[in-house]
Amino acid sequence: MKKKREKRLKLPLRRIVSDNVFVLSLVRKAAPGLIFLRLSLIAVSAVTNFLSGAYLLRFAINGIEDGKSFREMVTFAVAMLIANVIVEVIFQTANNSIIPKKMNKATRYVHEQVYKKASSVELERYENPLYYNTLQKAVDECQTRVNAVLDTVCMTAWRVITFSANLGLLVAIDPWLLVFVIAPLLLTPLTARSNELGYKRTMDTKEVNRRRDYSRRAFYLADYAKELRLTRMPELLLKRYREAGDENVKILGRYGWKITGLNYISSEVRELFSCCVAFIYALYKTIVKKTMKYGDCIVVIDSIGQVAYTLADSANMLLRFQENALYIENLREFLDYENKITDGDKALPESGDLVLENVSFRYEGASDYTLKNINMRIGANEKIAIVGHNGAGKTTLTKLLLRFYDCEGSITYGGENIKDFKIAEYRDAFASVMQDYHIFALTVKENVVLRPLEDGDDESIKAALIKSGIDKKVATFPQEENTVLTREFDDDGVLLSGGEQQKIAISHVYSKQNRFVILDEPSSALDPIAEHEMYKRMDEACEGCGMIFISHRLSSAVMADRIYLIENGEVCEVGTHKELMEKNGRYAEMFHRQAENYAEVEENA
Amino acid sequence: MPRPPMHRLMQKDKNAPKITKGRALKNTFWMFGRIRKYVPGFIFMVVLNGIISGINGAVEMLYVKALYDFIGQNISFETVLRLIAIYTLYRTFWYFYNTWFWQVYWTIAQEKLHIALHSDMFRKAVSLDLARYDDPKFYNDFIWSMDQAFPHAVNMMKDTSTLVFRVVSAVAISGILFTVDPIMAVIIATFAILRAFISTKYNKVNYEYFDASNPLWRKEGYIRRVFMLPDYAKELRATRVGENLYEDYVKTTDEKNKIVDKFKVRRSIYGVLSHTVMLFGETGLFIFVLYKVVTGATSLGTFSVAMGAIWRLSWTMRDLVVELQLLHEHAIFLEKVRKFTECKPEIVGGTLAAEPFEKLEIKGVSFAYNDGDKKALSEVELTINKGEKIAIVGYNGAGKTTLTKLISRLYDPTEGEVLYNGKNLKEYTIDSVRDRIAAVFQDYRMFASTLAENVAGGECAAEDENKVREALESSTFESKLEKLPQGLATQLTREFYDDGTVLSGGEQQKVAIARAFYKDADLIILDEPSSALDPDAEYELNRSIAEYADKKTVIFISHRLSTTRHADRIYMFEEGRLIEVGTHDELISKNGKYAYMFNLQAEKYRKQ
Repeated sequence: MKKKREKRLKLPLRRIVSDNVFVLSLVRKAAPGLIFLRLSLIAVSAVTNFLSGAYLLRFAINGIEDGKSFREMVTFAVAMLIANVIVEVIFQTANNSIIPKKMNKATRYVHEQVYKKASSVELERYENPLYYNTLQKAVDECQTRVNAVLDTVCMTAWRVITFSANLGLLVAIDPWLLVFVIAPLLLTPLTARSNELGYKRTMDTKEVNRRRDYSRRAFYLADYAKELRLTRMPELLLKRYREAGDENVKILGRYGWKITGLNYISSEVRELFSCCVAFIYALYKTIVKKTMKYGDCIVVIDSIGQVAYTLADSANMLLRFQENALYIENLREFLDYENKITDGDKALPESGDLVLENVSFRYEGASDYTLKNINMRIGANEKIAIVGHNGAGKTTLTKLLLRFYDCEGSITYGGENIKDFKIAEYRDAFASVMQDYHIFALTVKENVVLRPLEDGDDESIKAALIKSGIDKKVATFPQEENTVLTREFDDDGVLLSGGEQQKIAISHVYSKQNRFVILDEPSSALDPIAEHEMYKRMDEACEGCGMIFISHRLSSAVMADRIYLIENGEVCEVGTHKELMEKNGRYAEMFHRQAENYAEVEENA
Repeated sequence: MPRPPMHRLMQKDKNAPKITKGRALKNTFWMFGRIRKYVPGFIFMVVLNGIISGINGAVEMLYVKALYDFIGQNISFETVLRLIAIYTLYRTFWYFYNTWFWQVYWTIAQEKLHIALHSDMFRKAVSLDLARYDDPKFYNDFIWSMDQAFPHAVNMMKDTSTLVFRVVSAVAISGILFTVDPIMAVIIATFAILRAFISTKYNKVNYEYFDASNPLWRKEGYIRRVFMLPDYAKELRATRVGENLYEDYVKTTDEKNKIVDKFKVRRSIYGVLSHTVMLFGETGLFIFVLYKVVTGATSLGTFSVAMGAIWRLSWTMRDLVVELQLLHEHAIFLEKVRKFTECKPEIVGGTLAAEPFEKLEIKGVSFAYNDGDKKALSEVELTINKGEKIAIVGYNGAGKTTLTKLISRLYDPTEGEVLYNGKNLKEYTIDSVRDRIAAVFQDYRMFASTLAENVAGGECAAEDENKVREALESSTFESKLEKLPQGLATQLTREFYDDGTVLSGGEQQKVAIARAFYKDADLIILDEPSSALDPDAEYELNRSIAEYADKKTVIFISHRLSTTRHADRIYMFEEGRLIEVGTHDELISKNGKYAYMFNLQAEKYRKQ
C-alpha cells in the first residue's frame, strides 16, 4: 500500500524571485507606499543602529588613542542619542498606526481576490483531490503568507544593510579581515547537508505524527467515545500510538546525532576562523606590530563573529524565500486559473422547461461515466421525482442542473442552452435544499435569504419562517431574526437542533421567487410525522414552479407528475407512479419490496 | 537597538479558570511530579542546562573583557595566545554540549514526554463516563486539555530552563559588575530594573491589544474556513451567501483598524519609552566609562563589560518577569488538566461476571442527561426475555437511543434500576456486561485500521479471521469483501494510506453491524440499522439479521415501522415515556398512536 508521504518541492531561483515579486506587487497595488515605508524605516533604523554601535565605539576609542577632546566624543554620542530617539519615535508611531492599517488594507485586497475566486471557481476544484490541495493552501494561508513575505523582505533588508556597513568598516580597518569573513563559507556544503537532514527529519516524523495524531483524535472526539467504551479498540490505538512514538524516538536519535555532528563541525570551524584566528590576527597587529588602532581592534572583536555568521546564514534566508514561494505557487495557480465554466450573455427567458438531451457525465480522473445518455424534461410546473439506489448518480444530476459542472449532451432552459446564460442569474432561478446543507454564522435573516439583505426583505423573511414552522422558535432568540446563529465566533450564539436547522434551510426556499426547487433527500433526518408535514408544506410552496425531488424512498414519489428511475447512471424507467406500476418493471419491484411490510394494512384497510 | 521578537505570551485562553498564586504553584509542582515520572532525569537536565547556559554567558563576558584589557597594555603576546587557546578549547566543549542538548537530548526527551503524557491521558479519557461528553463545559475543557497539555508541559520545561538561565546570568553579571566598578553596577541595575518595569507595562498593553483583536481573528478564521472547505462550496455557488460573508470580513478589517486607533497612542508611548530608557542609559554609561578611560581610571575592558552588561542585564530582568508570568499561565492552564485527571468515573464495574443472558428488566427507570435537563426517559418499565425480538419505536427524541445507552451501561439511570438476570447491572464487571451485550449505534465510526480490526474491535489474530468473515457475511458485506483485493487486510479510510478504502455510508453501517455480530453477544441492540441503506439493501440486510439472530435476543430501534413490525413485542415511546406495548397486530387493533404512525407511513404505499 502507498503510505502517505510529502514530496519535497524545489523551485528554480528565477521562479522564487518572481513568486515573491508577485506578492509584493499585489501589496503595492492594494496599499501603495507600504513597502516603501517599511523598507525606509528599516534602512534608517539599521543605519543609526550601526552608527551608534560599532562606529561610535571605534570613533571614541580611536579618539582616546589619538588624543581627541573628550567633548568631541560626547558630542558625537549625544548626537547619536538624539538621532536614535527620533528614529525610535517615528518607528514606533508608524508601527502602531499607519503600518498595521496598511497591512490590513493589503491583506483585505488579497482576501478579496481569493474569496472572489473561491466562490466562482468550478466545484470540481473542491471535489477533486487533484486540485483541492492547491485551493486549500491558497485560501488557508493567504493571511499569514502575505505577512511572511513582507517580513522576510524587511528582515533581509535589515541584514543586508547591517552586514554591508559592518563589513565595510572591517575592510576599511584591514582588507585582510575579509578572508576571515569569507572563509567560513567553505562550510556551506556542511550547513546545507545539515539543513537537508533537518528537513528529512521533519518529513519522517511528520509521517509518524500523522498516525500519532490520529490516535489522539480518536481518543478525544465525542464521535468515537461510544466505540472506545464498547470495544477493545483503545488497546490497539494505544499500542499504535506507542509504536509511533518509539519510531519517532529512533528517527530523532538517528538524525539528531548526525545533525549534531555537522552543526558542531561547522559552528566550531566558523568560530575558529572568525573568532579565534581573526582575534589573534587583530591582537597581533595591535599589540605586537602596533599597526592597528585600539578602536579598530575592538570593532574586530565585537563584530567579526556576527558578520561571518550573517554571511553563513544567508542560505537560510534564501530558504525562507523559497518556502514562501512554494506557497505563492499555490496562490498564483489558484488566482491565475481561468474558469472553464463561464458566463453566457443571453437573458433568462420568461419561463420554460428544463430539457436534458443525451446528457453524459464523467468526473475528471474517473474511468467510468457517472451519468450516461440521460434524457429528461422538467416542466415549468411539474413535480418530478428522481429515484434510485445510493450511488446511482442522482446527486450528480442536480449538480449538472445547477451547472456546477458542464456535461456532454445539452441541457436547455426555455430552448436555450444553459451555457448561454449568466451563471449567477441562472442559478438564482433555483432554490435547493441539499442533503448536506449548512447553517452559517450569520443572522437568522441572512441564513434565510442567503444573500446581502435588501430593503423590504423583512416581510418575506417573516413569511418564510412562518411557513417552515420555525417562527415561534426564532421569536424566543435574544434578538429574534437578527440573532447570530452558531457559536463559531460568539460564545453566546444560538445553537439549533438538527430539525430546526433543516427548517431554517427550508425557509430559504420560501423566501424567494423560484422557477425550480431541488430537494435532495431532505427528509432523511426527520421522523415520519415531521417528514409528512414537510412534504405537505413543500407541495404548497412549489405551487407554480417546477420541483425536482430526489429520494430513495419511493413512497414520496407517488405524487410526482413523472418519475425517473435511475440505475447505474442511466434512466431505466420513466412515467407516473401508475404507469410504472402497471409496467411492472424495476420500479414496481422496488416499490413492492418497500411496501411489503405495510402491505397487510393495505389489505385490511 | 535589537528588537526582541513578539512574545508568545500573547496567546490567551478565554475561559481560563481563576486560581490563587498558591494553587498555581502547587499545579506547577504537580506537573513537575508527573514529568519526573514520565521522563526521569528530564527536569534535572533542564535545570542543569539553565545553569550551564548562565555560566557560559558570564564566561563569554569575561573573555571579551580580557581581550579588551590586552589592548594598549604591555603584555606578552604569548599570554594572549594562551588565553585564546584555552577559551577556544572551552568553546569546543560548549558547542558540542549545546548542539547535543538541543538536537539530541531535547528532541528525544520531548518525544518521550509526548508519548507518556498522552498515553496516560488516553487511558484516563477512556475511563471517563460518557455522560461527561454531554456536559459542554467539561467537554470543551477536555478537548482543550488533550490539545494543549503537551505544548504547555514542554513550554513549562523550556521556560524553567530559561528562568534558571536568567537567574544565574543576573547573579553572575551583577557579580562581575560589582568587582569591576560598584558605581557602574548600580547605574546599570537601575536602568535594567526601570526597563523591566516599563517592558512589563508595554507587554500588558500589547496583551490587551491582542485580546481585543482575538474575536476578530476568530471571525476571520471562520470566514476563511467557509471559503476553503468543500462542505460549503455548493452553497457558495447556488446562492449569494458568499457576499454576506465577504461583507462581514470587510467589517472585521474596519474593526481591526479601530482597534489599532484605540491602542496606537499607548502602544507607541510605551514602545518609545522602553527603548529610549535604554538609549539614555547606554549613552550615559558610555560617557561615564569613556570619561574614566580618558582619565586613566579604568581599562578598556570595563567598556566591554559595561556596554555588554547593560543590555544583558536588562534582557535578563525583563525575561525574569516574563518567564515568571509564563509559568503562572501554564499553572492556570494545568488547573484544567488536573481537574480532568483527577475526575473519578461514576460508572465503575462490580465484581460479578455476567452469566449468559436470561432476562433483562427495566424497573422505574428515569434519566436526564444533565441535572435539571428535561428527562429523556421517565418511569420506564419493561422486561425482555431470552430469544425475544423486541422493537422500540417512536419519533425523534422519544428516548429510544437513551434507553439502549442505559442497557449497554454507558450511563446509569438517574432513578430506578436495570436488572440483568435479576441482579442490578452495576454488580457486574463492565467488560463482562459488554461482552454479553453488543450495541450498534446510529453514529458508528470506522477506525483507520484494517477491515479485520474494525470488525474485531481491536487486534485480530489469524485464527479469528474466520469469525470476522462470518460476521461480515451475516451483515451482507460479503459481496463488497470479494471486491477488495486485500480482503480483510484492507486499510480503511485514507488517514494513512493514499489508496486506503473509503466505504460508503451503507457499507460502513454493515461493518458496524458485523462488529456486533463478531462479539457473539447474547443480546444485540441495533439502533436504526438500515438508515443509510437504500430499500433493496435494507430488505436484504433485515432478512440476513433475522437469520443470524435467530436464537439471540435482539432489540431493534427504528422510526421506520416497516423494519420492526415482525417483532415479538413493540414498545412505543413518546417524549421519554412508554406509551404503548404489544405485538403489531395488537397495537394496530388498539388504534392508538402506533397505529396512527404506521398508517401514516403506509399511506403512501397504499395509494396505488
